[in-house]
Amino acid sequence: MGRSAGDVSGRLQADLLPGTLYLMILRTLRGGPLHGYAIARRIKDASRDLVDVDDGSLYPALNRMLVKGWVKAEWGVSENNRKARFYRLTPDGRKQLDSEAKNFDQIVRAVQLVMRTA
Amino acid sequence: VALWRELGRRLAFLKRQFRFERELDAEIQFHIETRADELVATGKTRSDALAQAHREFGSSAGVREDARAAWQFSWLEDLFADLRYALRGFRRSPAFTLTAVVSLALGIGASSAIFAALDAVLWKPLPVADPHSLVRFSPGALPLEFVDQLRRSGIFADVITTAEDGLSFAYDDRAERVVGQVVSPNFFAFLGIEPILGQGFTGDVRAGRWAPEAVLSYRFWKRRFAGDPGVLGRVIHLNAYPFTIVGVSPPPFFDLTQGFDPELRLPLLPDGRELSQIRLLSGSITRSMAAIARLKPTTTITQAEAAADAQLQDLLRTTGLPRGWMHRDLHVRLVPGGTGWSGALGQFHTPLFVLLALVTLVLLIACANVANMLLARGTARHRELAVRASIGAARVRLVRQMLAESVLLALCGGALGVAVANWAAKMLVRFLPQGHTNIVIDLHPDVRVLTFSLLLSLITGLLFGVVPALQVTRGDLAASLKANFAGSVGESCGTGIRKTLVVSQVAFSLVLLIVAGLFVRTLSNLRPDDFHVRADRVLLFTMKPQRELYNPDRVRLLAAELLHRVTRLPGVQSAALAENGPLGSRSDVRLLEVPGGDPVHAAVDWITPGFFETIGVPRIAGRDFTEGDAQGALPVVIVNAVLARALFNNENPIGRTVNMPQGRSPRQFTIVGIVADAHYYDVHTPPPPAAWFAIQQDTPYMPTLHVRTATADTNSVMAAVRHEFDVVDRGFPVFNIKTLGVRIDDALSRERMVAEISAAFGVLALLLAGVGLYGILAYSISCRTREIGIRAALGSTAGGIVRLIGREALILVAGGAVAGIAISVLAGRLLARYVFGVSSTDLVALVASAGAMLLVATIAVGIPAYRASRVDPLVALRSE
Repeated sequence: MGRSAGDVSGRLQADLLPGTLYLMILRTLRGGPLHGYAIARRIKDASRDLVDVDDGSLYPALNRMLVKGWVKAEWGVSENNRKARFYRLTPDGRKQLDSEAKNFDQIVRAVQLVMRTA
Repeated sequence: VALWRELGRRLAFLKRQFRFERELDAEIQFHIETRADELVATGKTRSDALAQAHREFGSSAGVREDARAAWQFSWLEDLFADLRYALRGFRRSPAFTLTAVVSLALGIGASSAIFAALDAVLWKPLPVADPHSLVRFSPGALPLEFVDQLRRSGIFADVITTAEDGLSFAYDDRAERVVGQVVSPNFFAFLGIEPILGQGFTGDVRAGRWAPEAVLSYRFWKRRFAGDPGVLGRVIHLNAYPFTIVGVSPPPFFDLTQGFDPELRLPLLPDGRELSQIRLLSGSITRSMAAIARLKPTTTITQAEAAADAQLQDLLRTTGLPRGWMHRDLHVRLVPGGTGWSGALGQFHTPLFVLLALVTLVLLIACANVANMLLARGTARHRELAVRASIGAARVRLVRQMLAESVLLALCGGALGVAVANWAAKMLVRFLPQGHTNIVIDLHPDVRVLTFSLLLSLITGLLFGVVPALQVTRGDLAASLKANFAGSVGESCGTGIRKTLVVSQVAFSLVLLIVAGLFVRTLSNLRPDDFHVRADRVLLFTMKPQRELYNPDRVRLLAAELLHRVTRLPGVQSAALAENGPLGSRSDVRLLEVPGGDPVHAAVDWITPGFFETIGVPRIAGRDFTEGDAQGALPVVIVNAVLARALFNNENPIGRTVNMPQGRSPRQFTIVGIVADAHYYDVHTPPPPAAWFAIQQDTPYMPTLHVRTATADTNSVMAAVRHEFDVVDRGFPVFNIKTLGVRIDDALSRERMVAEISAAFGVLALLLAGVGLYGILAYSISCRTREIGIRAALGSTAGGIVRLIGREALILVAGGAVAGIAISVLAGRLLARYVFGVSSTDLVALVASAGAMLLVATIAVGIPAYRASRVDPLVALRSE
């Protein structure tokens, strides 16, 4: 039984569109490789604490993205000198990000239009 | 592609599952410690910070589970579990599994074979480059002058021309008759055919510098040269003229006309040149040949047809026509031909569709059978399913489990069905009439047929699986676990669905039997019984002294000499020649008239003395031809009774003359004899008016020697006759050697195919219905063991119990029979066009079918009923 993508957005993204977590992770990784903790941190900071990525969703999501081939994982040393697993965007992931970002923009604009006019 | 790579990554994951666990643990550990570091920085103690970080992270087991799930094929693993479970179930009940798989294999296999045949004649594209851009011209032969004009016009990418005829082929032994096709030199390049040996015609020939080259067909190469790769460059003789073998065409390619496979192809001579030995090769702009063109990618068939017709009208206007067959209001049409044009196989289209309809019925009956067995098993497994439901299996999961079982059954049936299809295709091919030219069709299961079988298996699996799966898992399974009396009351076993299935099985089997009966009766009605007594003892040999090599006098001389020698052979009762012969591949119809009367169309042939005696047609009046009816003597004719009546009413026609207004000279003939009416060229219509001329007063072209043997050992006579041919002259081919009995079979090949195959289907359906009936009764009795035991204990006799069971069965069979007869009356209406001499409600077919059904039903019911009557009440009542 496949899980719907909605599961991964966690409690705080319950009202967000499916797949948003993937999109945010991909966007975060565009600047360069990051480990899981830093990804969650970045998303939280960038959204001014509006989005709190549930740890229980983050790692399964990252694994699903590994399966899809959007990211690659390598072991490295973190800023606090610990061994950490860094995720890097693949060309496929970049493509996915571009197309998903465009889609997302369109949907947001469409929703806004409806909210304003309807 | 992305999917494949994803699959690869998943499979790689399976290999390093242990590392994954370690890595994920390390990753989670890192996450928690980093968070703790942060918390320590805000002033917490290390242990408090760690505890809070752990709390925040939540269930690491859940994360692990979800992360692992990302990598796994959960549905695939479930499927494997289902299939494993199903296999275990099959092993536990081999009788059920075997019955189901075999009945499905027969149904799927027969359907696949008939699909293969239909695919080959209707849907499969020709194995040539871009087959769908090919078009054929109608009328079927165009003057080469017009073809040249079409080539120059640029309407088409290119045009080829073809024509075929029998040739005398000699390599190292006596002459053999082969079918040669003369083609324009661009033939192989045009079709994009890569020969498996050689290169098609050489560049010189393609450039218009003719050379005696031959390209063999794959099958002729295999048969005559045993597939020798060294044949290139060898010299063969065709009509005594030497040709060099330059290539062998590839195995899948036969011809653009379906069923046709000429033994070899020769290049057409350039305009104005001819070869005296082989007139077939002559190149002349006035000659007509079949033409095939390739459309340009930018042109539609309608545009090309209009442009080609404009060219023809142009030609008709500007040249001094009409020339030969060409007349002023002629138009050309284009016929698309991506699948090849139906030649001799065209007559089998309708029979194949009829068989497809019948085989679908067989398959449905097989499906009903398996569905019934699955329902019975499902009911028996009610407890097991209930246990599984009560420990939390969703209904979807149970339905899926049962569907996995039925699809697996169907796939096993389909796999075995491929073998059945292969065998059945061979049977189908054996119905094709072979002789004058061979009809060749490749029915080996190819990718298309295998795909069809696979899809059909999946569909049947779902078809017979869905109803039982839904039925069995219906309602509150877990609750039924509490009711421990399952099986104690008969009603819980015999569900309505199962009875409906059995009734429809009986009905459709009966329909199949009755329809098969109609076809069998049609066949026996068409079999000529008016002549040809012991037709299996009449041997036929067709000979073709090439007229390029043998002049008419020589042919007459050879024929007389041969007849003389064969007649004296031991074991030969009589022998005679006929130009065409009965049911031959050639026929002739001419207008005959008496002065002052209406002309009559008559079937005509040319024969030697003793012919009627040899084929078994009695003479009514007058005399037979004699040696004296030779060249220069009075031209004579023998007529049949129908023609005599048509020309002279009831007057005595012996000694009267008839005229043949057009055709061969001489034109006036004296009637010397009358023979009985008999089928001659066609068995499907009543004997038409017919007349026979003396072959020695004309020139034989391709006569057939008819030999009636005195013994049943036709093989030794055949060898002896063959030897006489060699003694007389080894230079002309003798072919199409068979008995008149086989020729009658060939004339009825369509009817035989439909009758024999539908009869096989009918028997199969009958057996399936018998098995189904037996199954439901045996099962219902096993459910009612307790009830029967009580009845026996209360004093019911064995006969009473048999009657009880029998009544239940009788209702089912009677219901099915009534429905079956009703449907077959309707089906008979549909089939009225395809049956001959039988009414669609033929009583013989109906009674015979119903009788067969009754017999099978009695056996199917009798066995379980007898067993029921032997139930020991003590054992029965203890059984729960």
